[in-house]
Amino acid sequence: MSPSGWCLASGFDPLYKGWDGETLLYDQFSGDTHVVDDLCMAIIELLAKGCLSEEQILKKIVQYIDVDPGIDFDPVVQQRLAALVKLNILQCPT
Amino acid sequence: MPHVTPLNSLSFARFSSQLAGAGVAFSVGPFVVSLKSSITSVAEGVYQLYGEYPLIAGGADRFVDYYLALEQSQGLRRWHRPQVKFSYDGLHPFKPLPLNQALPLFEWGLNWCVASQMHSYLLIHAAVIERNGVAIILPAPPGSGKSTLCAGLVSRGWRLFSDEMAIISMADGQVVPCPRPIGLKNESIQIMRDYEPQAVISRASLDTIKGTVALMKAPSDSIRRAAETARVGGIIFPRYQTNAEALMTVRSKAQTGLYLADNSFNYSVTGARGFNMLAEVVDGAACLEFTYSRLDDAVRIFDALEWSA
Repeated sequence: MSPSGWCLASGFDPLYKGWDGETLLYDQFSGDTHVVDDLCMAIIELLAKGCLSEEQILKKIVQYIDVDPGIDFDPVVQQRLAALVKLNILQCPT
Repeated sequence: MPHVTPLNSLSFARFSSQLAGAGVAFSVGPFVVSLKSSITSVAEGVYQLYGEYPLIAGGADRFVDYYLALEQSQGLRRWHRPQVKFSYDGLHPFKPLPLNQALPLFEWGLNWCVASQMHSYLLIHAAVIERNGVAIILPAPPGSGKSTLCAGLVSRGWRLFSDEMAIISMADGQVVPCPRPIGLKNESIQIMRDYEPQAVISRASLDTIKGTVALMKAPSDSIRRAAETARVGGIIFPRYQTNAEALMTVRSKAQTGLYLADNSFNYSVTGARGFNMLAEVVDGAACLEFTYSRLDDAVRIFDALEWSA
């Protein structure tokens, strides 16, 4: 996969436990612990299989969680991607 | 049940002489402390608050977890604003404090020893109480009324595990009791004197970093049952709010886990084991927030909690 896509941060090695739409996530590499929502976890699980472009992420997520066709989901996913970068879970495309 | 000789089986004269000499060893929950001090207020305070704790007989072969000493600073400090020094295995991890803070310094120093050493346990800054084999963890930031609530509940039949630290075994997730004196601050001291007139409360230390501080002796039953562990049934965040009606509400489990991780003394050094244990504890516990203004309301609501082991 091209390194220009969205990828999990190098070394990211999560353990996690979810309850009611929220997940407590521990990165064994950094030692950081976070709470993320279901959408963030869906993105993390997608990217665990390999790097993806934003378009690919959006397409797969929309299928995965069965989003209503009328909803503009781009900004929602973009916001989660930015949040995950801030938590050092994802690497921005280069 | 092994026969236990309490520390106060020694006369005060013999205790204070031994304390000033070779030191006195006693067990406090899962560990053994050896304390040396020739300071009268320390002898009086420890005898008053720890008198019912198991005395560990002398001899070079006895096992001690922490060798502690509280001694008065020497030199000119003996006469001008006298100070007390805390030492652990001969090291001085803290700056000296005014002599009138010797007893709280013992408690703070012991907290530091436990928090920095006992990594076979997950250690979380919280009070813990128990009833019917179910432990309730009360984590809370300073000023939330945690210690006052804890003192109130243990004065009305709840068993004290700790006012300061949840000690969770990494082996089986059981909470281990470490019933030590409850640290009361400022107005909480008088509140507890009024609420439980029978409570044994130490002389107050003024002008500490936490304000006026006094220590309330752990209930005798809690000291006697210090070997009885319990599973965690609830994690309840108390919040004192003037004139508030008592109210218990559900709290997010993930956020509860994050708070506990942030307020653990050793989560960062326990790695994956610590996370897995934390997740297991949160998963099995009811996570709640409790707002209150009156201790009687709090006792009534906690008494009505229906959990069984």
